[in-house]
Amino acid sequence: MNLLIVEDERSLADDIRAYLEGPDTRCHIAATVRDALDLVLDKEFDCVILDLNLPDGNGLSVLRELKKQGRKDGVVIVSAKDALDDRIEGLRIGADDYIVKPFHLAELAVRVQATVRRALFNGQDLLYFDELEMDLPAHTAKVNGIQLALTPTEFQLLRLLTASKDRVLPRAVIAEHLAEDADHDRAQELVYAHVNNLKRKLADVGYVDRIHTVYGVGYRFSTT
Amino acid sequence: MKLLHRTRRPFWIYAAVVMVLSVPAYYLVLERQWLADIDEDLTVQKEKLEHGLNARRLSDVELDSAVVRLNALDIGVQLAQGERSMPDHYATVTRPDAFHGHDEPFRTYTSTIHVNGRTYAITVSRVIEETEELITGIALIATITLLLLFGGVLLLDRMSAQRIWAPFHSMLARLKRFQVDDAEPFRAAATGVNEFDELEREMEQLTARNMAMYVEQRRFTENAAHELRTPIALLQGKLERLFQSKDLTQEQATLLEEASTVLGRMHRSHEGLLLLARLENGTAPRSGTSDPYAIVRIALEQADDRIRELGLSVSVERVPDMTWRLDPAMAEILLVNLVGNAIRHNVPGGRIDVRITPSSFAIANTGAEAGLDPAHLFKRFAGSGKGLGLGLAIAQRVCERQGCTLNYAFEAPLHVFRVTLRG
Repeated sequence: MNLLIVEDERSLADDIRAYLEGPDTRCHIAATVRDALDLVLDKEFDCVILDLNLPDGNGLSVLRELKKQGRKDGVVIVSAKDALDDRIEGLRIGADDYIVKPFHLAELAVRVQATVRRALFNGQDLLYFDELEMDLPAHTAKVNGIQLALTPTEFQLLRLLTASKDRVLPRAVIAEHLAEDADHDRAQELVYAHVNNLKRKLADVGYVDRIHTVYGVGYRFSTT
Repeated sequence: MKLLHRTRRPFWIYAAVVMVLSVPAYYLVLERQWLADIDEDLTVQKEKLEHGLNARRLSDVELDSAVVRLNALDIGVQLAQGERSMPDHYATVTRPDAFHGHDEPFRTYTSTIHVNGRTYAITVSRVIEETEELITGIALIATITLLLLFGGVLLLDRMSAQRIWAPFHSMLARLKRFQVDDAEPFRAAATGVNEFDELEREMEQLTARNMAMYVEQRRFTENAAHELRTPIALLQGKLERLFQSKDLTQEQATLLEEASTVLGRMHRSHEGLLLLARLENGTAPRSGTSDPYAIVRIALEQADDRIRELGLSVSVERVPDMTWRLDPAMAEILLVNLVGNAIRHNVPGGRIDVRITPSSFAIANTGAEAGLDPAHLFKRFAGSGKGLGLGLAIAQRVCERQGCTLNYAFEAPLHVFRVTLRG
């Protein structure tokens, strides 16, 4: 998978790269509209992570150029602006998603993955993690062909864990992703309960030792 | 009351008073004048007769014969010989008239004449029916003339008022359309009336200043948002990378998690304050309809875990198939905050009762055993420490912006928040 990160904050771009890059994912970084245009005209990307406030202009011009050329690269806008007009304009020109800073890297990973897969599989999107088969559009999961009875929250949780495969997910990040009331003192206990339920349901069909507890921090999903 | 009505009312009252007083006065003065004329005529007639009879130097026999013939002619003069003088007397009487064959009103003049040294009582009279008809006719014409005059003046006044007020109504319509965040500014129109032209110019300047101020404030809010969001994003990225470190000690992990929690809280406070700032600088409420039940249902579904964990019983009573005339985004902010509040401050085994009607929303929840101070409740950061303390401040601000009211009451054991929509 080829990703382009268009972000003028070098430090943030590095964090995004460090989080998203893996054995089958390569990240390129552009800090200006000009650099970004050079890169997108040179090669295709599965997904462009696009900041709007760039030193030499608005990131939307990169998006416009892509659409003008009829390109199919996925685009996730990442911006500190959340004025409704910007959001509508971005999605109108053809961005796939819009995420407001600050965001959790795990959240970005889910959005990028969804964008890439939507473009590639056009609605027929199945993800495999060993015996686990996830149907993203249908929000269902199977292990060895056996349908799992997951609540929407549990499916969302599984989605987040798998999108950040091999990475540690802090409990607070999970709580926020599940739209829990993160300021509630019980939020983290609820996360604990959800993860345990999910683990139990997976174990019932023999899918064990994939979600690891990282003591004092959170959870990590990995395949064998 | 319309300004026009206000200015017209004294005119109407004055016109009515003039009408009521003038028509009878007119009638009375005319009648009096006519009677005076008639009386004068009758007096002259009497004097002519007296003079005529004396001038002929009739003998007593001739005089008696003349008086009998004069009386028999019945031409409005009756003579009767008397002993002494009668005082002059004018009167209006109704008596049978041989000529017309029925009762007629007469004006009579009773007096005394002296002919050949004899004293005669004389009554000169004249039918005055036609005269009365004439006076009534004249009074009627006067009434019609007055009515035409007042009616015409009012009609003209109304027509010219419409023309004079047209620039005002046009300006009012343009002001109503004006929105501070609109690309279309308020433009002064030339009306040809000095006062309105001045008002138009002042209005243009005022709205232009308003727009400039709004743009400035929005820019500030956006800058504030950007300047703080980016560092928070950077910090968050660093923390998440640190979490990935292979050899985190227990102590480091705890510190990291605490730092992460604090950062999350800072982020949410910042977003809440930004939202408040936007609501305060916000534009006029946009129209639109929202489905309060749908919003509440989704909010309850999202909090399903907490509701189950606390064992809350939730009841939603509503009027089916109705919407609110309220901006959907604002309605969502308002209701989600109130629902979140009712859950956050609830107690295990407690309850939440929601009631939705086309004009109101009420949410009651169990919680603290004593009522809360309403004066303190809606202030920022006045929370009990269970949340950020911005939710109710935001909810109230939304209500203010949308012209609704938000009230709190403690109806033991329930804390009740009521929203009343604008009429």
